[in-house]
Amino acid sequence: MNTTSLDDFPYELQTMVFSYLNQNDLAYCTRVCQAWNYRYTPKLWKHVENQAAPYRSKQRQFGIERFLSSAAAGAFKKHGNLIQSLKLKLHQQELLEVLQHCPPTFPSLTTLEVSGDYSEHQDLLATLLDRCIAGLKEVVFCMRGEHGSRFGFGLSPFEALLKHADTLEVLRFTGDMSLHPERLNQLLCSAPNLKVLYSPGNRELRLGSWLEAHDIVPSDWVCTNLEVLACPILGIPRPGLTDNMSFRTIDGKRVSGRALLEVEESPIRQFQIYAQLAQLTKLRELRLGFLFDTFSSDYRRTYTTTHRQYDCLAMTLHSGLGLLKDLKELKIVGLENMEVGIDGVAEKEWTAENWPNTVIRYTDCSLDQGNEDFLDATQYIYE
Amino acid sequence: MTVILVSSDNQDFKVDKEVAERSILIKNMLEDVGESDSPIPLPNVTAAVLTKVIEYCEHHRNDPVQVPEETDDPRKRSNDIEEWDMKFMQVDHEIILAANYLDIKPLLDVGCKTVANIIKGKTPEEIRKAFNIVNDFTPEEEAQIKKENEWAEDR
Repeated sequence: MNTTSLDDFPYELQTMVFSYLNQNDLAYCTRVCQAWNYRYTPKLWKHVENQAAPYRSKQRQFGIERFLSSAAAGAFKKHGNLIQSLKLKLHQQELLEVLQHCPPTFPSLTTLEVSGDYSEHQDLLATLLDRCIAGLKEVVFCMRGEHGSRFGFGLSPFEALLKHADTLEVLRFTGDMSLHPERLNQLLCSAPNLKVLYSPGNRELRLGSWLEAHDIVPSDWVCTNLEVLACPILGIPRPGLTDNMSFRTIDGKRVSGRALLEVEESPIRQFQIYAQLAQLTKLRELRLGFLFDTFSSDYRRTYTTTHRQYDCLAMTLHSGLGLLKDLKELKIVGLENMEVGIDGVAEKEWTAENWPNTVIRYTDCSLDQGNEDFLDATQYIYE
Repeated sequence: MTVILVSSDNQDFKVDKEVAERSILIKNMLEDVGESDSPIPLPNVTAAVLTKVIEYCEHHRNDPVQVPEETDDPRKRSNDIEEWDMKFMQVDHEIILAANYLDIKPLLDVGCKTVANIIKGKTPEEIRKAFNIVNDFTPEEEAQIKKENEWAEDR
């Protein structure tokens, strides 16, 4: 190869070459000479991500030390304006330290991902979200509490997140996080460009973030561009609901299947929910079941029955399934761990006619069959 | 059916139409002029480079036309270069420029991957050596840049 080649290349060719280089290659390129530094610095800083090493390894420690050292050298203040995508695999204390060396704003940032162990230090996340003044398009939070507990996504980061509602396209909550159902619903009422809401509420019932029927029915969803809704909808008094439903707690309230049964036993609520879902005509993926992972057993004993969802949609034509006939883009309907599936003869005929290309999943296949979306966001935290 | 290509230094090359049409530029030109025997001038490509490009197109004449891949991965793979292509590319960056001008996407890809592979896995000093570049940083500047960007290193 002729040695002067790269400098003669037109810009688009240099960009092509750069697309084959990883972060480490780019970092070395910035140290070659002034011209290369000028050329490669913006490319390196476009996407900032600390090295993903196994959770408790020495390697992770070294990676974090390098990251903090760059931050302390003023790198973020200097190049923060170039960052478009920021993925932080940092624990609370580490993030706190990095933030001290960050610029007051990230004017180009549109993708933010945070994963790690967090206690209830809510303002830290709010501060980070507030610094993203360009309007975030993609937000991923994959957290758990310290010492294997859950992390409750509180009011202040939620309000900071809500400021990005106009631009938000992808929102993922995974790990051991919980967000109040009412707030999750508020997002659906505020984010007109939302395409993906992924909040599968893993682990035990009381640890997830899910939607509640009594919130969503009277509400005005603006998220008509939604393509992926992966979030359980709970609290549906279903005719025929058995009283073997496990107890679960929302804000300290204990609700049993029997209680829901007594409050209201009518298919009207079901119809209302189907009507709400029927507005989402661009849906490709609708996953209403809890997706739990086997790592739960790290900390506490869990049973598949704990994940079982009894107060779910009845999935019958009688309860309003037919309202979803216009969801022509649907490729996947996930009903994992739900007490009922689409089982009736009439319902099966209906799906064959109306959703000829839709795959309906019943068993939890989030890990076995490699649902990559799910693994992607959670693998770090459980390594 | 053959077509005649004329290099910038006025040499004629007689090439099968099928081979020449590996270049999207030439393909479009042929479609625009229709049936014609007139030679096609390529003012940006020398005879030496054109010889190599034709060699490439001959070798790949039966390849399926490349469909652009839809991939979510921003970092593409560069370790999938065919052996023949690898030897072929040990020549000159002018071929990459010619591939760009003639719009021969597969050749362009191979070229860019080859350049990327020269950079990959090398330290800054080794890169300088490979591209014959003089280090024009002061030691302080270089140390500062190293520190600023070391978060990205995966040692």
